[in-house]
Amino acid sequence: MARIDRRYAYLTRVSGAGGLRAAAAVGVPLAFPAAAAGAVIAMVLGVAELPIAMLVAPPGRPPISVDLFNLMHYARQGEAFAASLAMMAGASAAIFAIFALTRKSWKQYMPIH
Amino acid sequence: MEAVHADSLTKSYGGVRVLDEATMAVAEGGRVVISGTTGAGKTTLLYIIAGLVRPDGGRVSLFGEKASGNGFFVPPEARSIGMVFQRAILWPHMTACGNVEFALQETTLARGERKSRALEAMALFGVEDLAGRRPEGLSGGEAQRVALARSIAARPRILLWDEPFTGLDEATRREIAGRALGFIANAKATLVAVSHQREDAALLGARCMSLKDGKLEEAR
Repeated sequence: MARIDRRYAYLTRVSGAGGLRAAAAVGVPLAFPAAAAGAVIAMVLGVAELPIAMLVAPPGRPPISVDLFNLMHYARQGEAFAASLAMMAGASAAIFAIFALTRKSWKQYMPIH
Repeated sequence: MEAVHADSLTKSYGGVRVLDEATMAVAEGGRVVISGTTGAGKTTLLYIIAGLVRPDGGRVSLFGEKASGNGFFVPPEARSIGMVFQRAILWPHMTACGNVEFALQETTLARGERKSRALEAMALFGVEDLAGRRPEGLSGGEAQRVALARSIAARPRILLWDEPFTGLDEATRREIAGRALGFIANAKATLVAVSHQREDAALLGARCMSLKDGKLEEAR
C-alpha cells in the first residue's frame, strides 16, 4: 500500500469519498494485483513445503500440514474442515497483528497530517 | 462573502518552513492564480485549503465556516472541492469516463444521469470521445483535460487547480482556459489555481498572487 502514489488517495477524498469508500473503490483495486500475486506465491510455496514436512516429520508427531493431508486422504472431512478453520483463524490473527503493528505505513497511504 | 480565507498559515517539513504566516482571501466567485518558484509551497497551500494536509498554525475558513485550525478540522470529502493535481493523475483501473463519474458517486443523481453529467463535463474540455479509454491510452494533455473535467463534474463551489494546463500546447491552452472560464463564470465557482506561468492568470481572468519565502503577496 505504501508504494501506491498517495495522490490517488488524496484524489479519492476530494472526490467526496470517505475513508471506507476510498479504500473499497480505489485502495483495494490498486493493491489487488500485488496481493493476489503474493497469495499465489504463498500457496505454491506452501504446497512445496508439504513433501518436505512429510519426509522430515518425526514419527508420532506430524506437523499440522501433514495431519491435514492425512485427514483429507482418509476422507475424515469433518476433522479436516475443523483443522482448516483453526489454521485460517490463526493466520487471520497473525495478519491482524501485523496490520496493527504496521498501521503507521497504512496511515501514510491516507494521511491527514 | 469570502469563499476562501486562509489566515496566517504556517507549515514546515523537516524543519524547513514552507509557509510562514501566509494569508489570502478570495471572494465568492473570485479567481486567483498563485505563482512562485519550485518548492515555494504552492501545492502545500492548496493541500491545506483542500484539507489534505493540516497546517501547523493558522486557520482556513470556507464560505465563512471554519474548516481547519485550532484543533478544528473538516475532512476533504466534506468541503465541496474540485481538485486538479500537478501532473494529471487518473485512477488507472477506471476508464476516463469512470474517473469523471466517480466524482459524482456521492451525489443523489441516478446512474444514467451521472454518466450524462460526466460526458457533459468531458465535452466541455473536448475529451468526450475518449470516454471509454483507460488512462494508459491517453496522452499527457488528454489526461489533463479528463482531470479538469473530473474536477468540475460535481459542480463544486471551490476549484483548486495545481498547474491545470500542464501538457497542453499554446493553442489548446487558450481554448481550454476559455472554456474553463465560461464554466467558472456560469457556475459562480471560486478558483484558486497554482501555476508557474503567470500568463495563466490573464487567461483565467484571475488576480495574481505570488508565494515567496512562505508569504503570499499580490503580484504586480
